[in-house]
Amino acid sequence: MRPDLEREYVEYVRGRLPRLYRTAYLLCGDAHQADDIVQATLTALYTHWKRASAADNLDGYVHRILVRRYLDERRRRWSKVLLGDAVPDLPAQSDHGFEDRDALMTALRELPKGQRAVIVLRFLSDLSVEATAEALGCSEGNVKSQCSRGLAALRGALGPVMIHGERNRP
Amino acid sequence: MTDEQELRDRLAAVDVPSSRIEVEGLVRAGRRRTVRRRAAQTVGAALAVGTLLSAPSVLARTGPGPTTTTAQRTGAPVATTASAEAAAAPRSCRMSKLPVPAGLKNVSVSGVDPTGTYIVGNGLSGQDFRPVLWTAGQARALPMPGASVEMSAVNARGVAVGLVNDGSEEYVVRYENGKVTKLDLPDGNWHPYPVPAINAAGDVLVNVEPQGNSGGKDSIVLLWKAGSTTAVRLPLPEGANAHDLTDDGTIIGSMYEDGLAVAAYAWNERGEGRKLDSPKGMRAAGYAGQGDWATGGLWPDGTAALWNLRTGKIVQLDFPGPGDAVNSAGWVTVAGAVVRDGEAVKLPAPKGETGKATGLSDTGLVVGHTVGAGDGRGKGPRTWQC
Repeated sequence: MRPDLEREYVEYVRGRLPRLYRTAYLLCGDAHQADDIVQATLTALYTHWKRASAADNLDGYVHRILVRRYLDERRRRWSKVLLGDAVPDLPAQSDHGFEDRDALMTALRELPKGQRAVIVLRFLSDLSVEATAEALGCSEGNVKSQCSRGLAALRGALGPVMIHGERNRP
Repeated sequence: MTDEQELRDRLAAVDVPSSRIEVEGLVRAGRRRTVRRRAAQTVGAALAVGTLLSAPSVLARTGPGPTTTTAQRTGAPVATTASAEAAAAPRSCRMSKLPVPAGLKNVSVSGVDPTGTYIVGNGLSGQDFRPVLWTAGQARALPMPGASVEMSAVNARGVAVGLVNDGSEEYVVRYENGKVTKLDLPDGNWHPYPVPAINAAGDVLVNVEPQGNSGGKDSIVLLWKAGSTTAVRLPLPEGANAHDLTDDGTIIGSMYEDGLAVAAYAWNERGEGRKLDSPKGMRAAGYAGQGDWATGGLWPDGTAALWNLRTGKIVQLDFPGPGDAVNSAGWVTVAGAVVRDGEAVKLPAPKGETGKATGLSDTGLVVGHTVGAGDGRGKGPRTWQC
């Protein structure tokens, strides 16, 4: 890669790395696997940087690779399974004695994977409904329904904590 | 939710362990990968020779394609020169729309039989799938034994398989001449995944894990012999997951540890397996097989792999993988792209749309759909004759 392009890549990655790692971790819940996913995503980005950096929506592109890494490595055709998810039962009430952030992580882990991915992409990565659908390879309608179910399940699990939790924990 | 902003804040504040990734390491890995990619392209060119050797017999079923024409007209022996000429020939594909049964929406295609005559797919209604079978281009909505039926594969006799989800009950079904048959699972509560496969003989294969488990924990592999509704548990090793069944009965799959694929395998029905090669330091998963070929993915690279089952040779395809379908000429679908001889095949689409492939026949028929280039919305099922 040309030095100037490589510098651009390094700048971009430095700016995005913490958030991408957080996204991967919230998706898979495992630090090593999150590292694997992010490493594979950003290495692939390097090899396609010239073309990718010229794209309209570079962040969307990167998230698409990242989500694919997560989904494909876990299980083939997972996104199809996501589409076929039956309405899940609300997860059991979390123990409100947990610290808030642990309660949120626990509640996230209890969500069906599709809902978890939609919640993380929409509310952590700030992807639009359209971009989330593209990243997951499903329809916008599915993103919306998964999102509302996920939010309902989180409300059910976190209830009062969700509403009264402290916002600015480190 | 009035507290969506709060959710945003809290997701941003979840205590995550520290990452070991450093930007400098990524740049080094990227440089290494770029070098490997160039090397792989050289391998891809070499592969083109081998692939074209088998291409004429394969493509002859529906008349010569552009690559065979060159070889046949010149009467050249099957040799490097013929391959070089063929490789230089244009590889154009012709797109057609597949009709959609009345009342079905968001229809996508999931598989095609090796002759290209039968195609299966699904419409969506809310969270539920609606099964569709195309026969020589004619669409038909199939009967629904449960709330959701997800079609996954069809063979050259038009026998199709899918997964029924009816409340808490999940099972595999077989469609033959429009009649649907439930394939019984062993006693107990089982969750079949990811989707069933069928081969030319009509044998059906799927993994099941105890209901409530995930990641394949305590899973077993089931086979229904053609016409039978009673499953036979295959004697595969613990941690084995099967993803495809070739016409000679070879089971393509992977060994999993803690829900992660560690190695791709080809097994026979007696459970005798051989590990499919992977580059040093990489994990592999086998997802599909046809004829002499198998495809799947390699991690942590996340690229697609193409194995020649006869020679055992692997070619790493530098496309964001994994490979999820393969035909008997070694073409692979990788994340919506068709990769032939190491290069992407152009899938023509109307202006503002992009073609995405999900399956391939031995006759060069690619099945899939188009999406809007800007919004990524599905524009409906399509085929490309390549």
